[in-house]
Amino acid sequence: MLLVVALSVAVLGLQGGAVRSANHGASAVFGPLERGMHSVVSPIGRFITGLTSINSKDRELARLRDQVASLNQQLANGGYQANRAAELDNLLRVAALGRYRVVPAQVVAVNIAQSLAWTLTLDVGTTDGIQVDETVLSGNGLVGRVSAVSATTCTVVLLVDDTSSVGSRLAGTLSIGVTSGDGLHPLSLQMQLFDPFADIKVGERIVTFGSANYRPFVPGVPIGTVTSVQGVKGQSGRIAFIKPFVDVFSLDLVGVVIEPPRKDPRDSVLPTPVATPTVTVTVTASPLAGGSATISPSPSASGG
Amino acid sequence: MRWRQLLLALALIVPAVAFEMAVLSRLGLPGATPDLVAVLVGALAATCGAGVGSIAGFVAGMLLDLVPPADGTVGVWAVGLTLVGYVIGSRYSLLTRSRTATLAEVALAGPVAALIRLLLGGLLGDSRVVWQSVPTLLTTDLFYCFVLATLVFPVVVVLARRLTPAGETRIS
Repeated sequence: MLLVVALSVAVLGLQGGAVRSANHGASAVFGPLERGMHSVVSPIGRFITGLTSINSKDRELARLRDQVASLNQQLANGGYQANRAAELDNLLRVAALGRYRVVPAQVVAVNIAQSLAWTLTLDVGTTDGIQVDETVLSGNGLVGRVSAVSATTCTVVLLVDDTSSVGSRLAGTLSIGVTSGDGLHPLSLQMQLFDPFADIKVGERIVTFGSANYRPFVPGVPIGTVTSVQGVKGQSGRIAFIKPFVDVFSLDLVGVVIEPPRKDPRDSVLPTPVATPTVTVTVTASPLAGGSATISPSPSASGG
Repeated sequence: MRWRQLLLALALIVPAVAFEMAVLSRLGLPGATPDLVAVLVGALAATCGAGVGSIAGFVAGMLLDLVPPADGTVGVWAVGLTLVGYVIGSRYSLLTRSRTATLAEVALAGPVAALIRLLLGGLLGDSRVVWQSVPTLLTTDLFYCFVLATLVFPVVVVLARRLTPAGETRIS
């Protein structure tokens, strides 16, 4: 059944934007109509069923008890379902914005911490069209890449794993670098900047640059936010510390990109910035801190 | 060979590996993942002896190395758990030990197997082995394994006594 859900949402993911807007329009018109119809028709239906079952009260009682039990169970599952729906919604939004063709998948197993490998297993495989070296993302951003695939499962190496590195780009600019994890700190990534004079500020966001032939990484997937920068402008080998958008401890529903977009989505997948004023406040603090920590001349630090 | 004990070991280990990777590792506990598999190998070794203990350790280790999402050198867990199973199992030729001491040894199975696995991984050039993280990993592992051992060990003793011929179980 999961397979059917996965494949059907994959088709939705292909034309997510159009389907969603059409769906919105339709529900705006038909929603109230349907609800009105339901409230009129259901009392009549209940009256009719009440007439037919009046001579079998015992059976009715047993049926109602069953119904109460199953409704209680549904109530208990309600929170989970709502959560899952929200995650799917987010995933569809990202797939639609980036024009990625995505197969949704459920995380079924996670590697044990003692193995020191940040990997996990998804419930999709070659039968769902998954191949090795495809991008895995969630509704929040980049998760990792597919490292191995079987008929019904695949293994994903997370971005924080020591063996992961992804070409990345500062949103809104052409500055690029390589972002990798160290396997030790799952809440922090490091981006090595190629351009020593690149203007990088705390609070800026980075997205994937896109690999050759879109494997293993498709372009435009949000990675994270810059939290601090080590080194000063002009110095080679500067490192920006990145707080990833994806929390590796709460991964549940993710998507595997089985077809890259025709055009680089650039920065369109990033959520619209909300906290621009706070960004400018922190900008002045960080280069100063970086300047005082290193042996560089202070004018350049205060200038940045 | 003690076929019944081996069958019991297999019947316990296979679901334990699945449970550890699908449930215990996703709890998000600080430090290590509670190593149910290693504790089970230790408990089986202590109740059934070195032969069953080392076979159980090998099977459990190979499963931990091969079952997805395992990724990396195959065989490192197998080495660690086989050694642990053999050592704990062979200590019971003495038959003079108290239940508490045995419990402590079963709990040690987790961190010792993990240490062997990490050392071997480091020797074989696994770039993921970062020694900075090892002390926290092993101390939390010891704590979780002790808790698990108090729950698992008595169950394994009872099962081994019920399901296998009299006289083969070493714990009195």
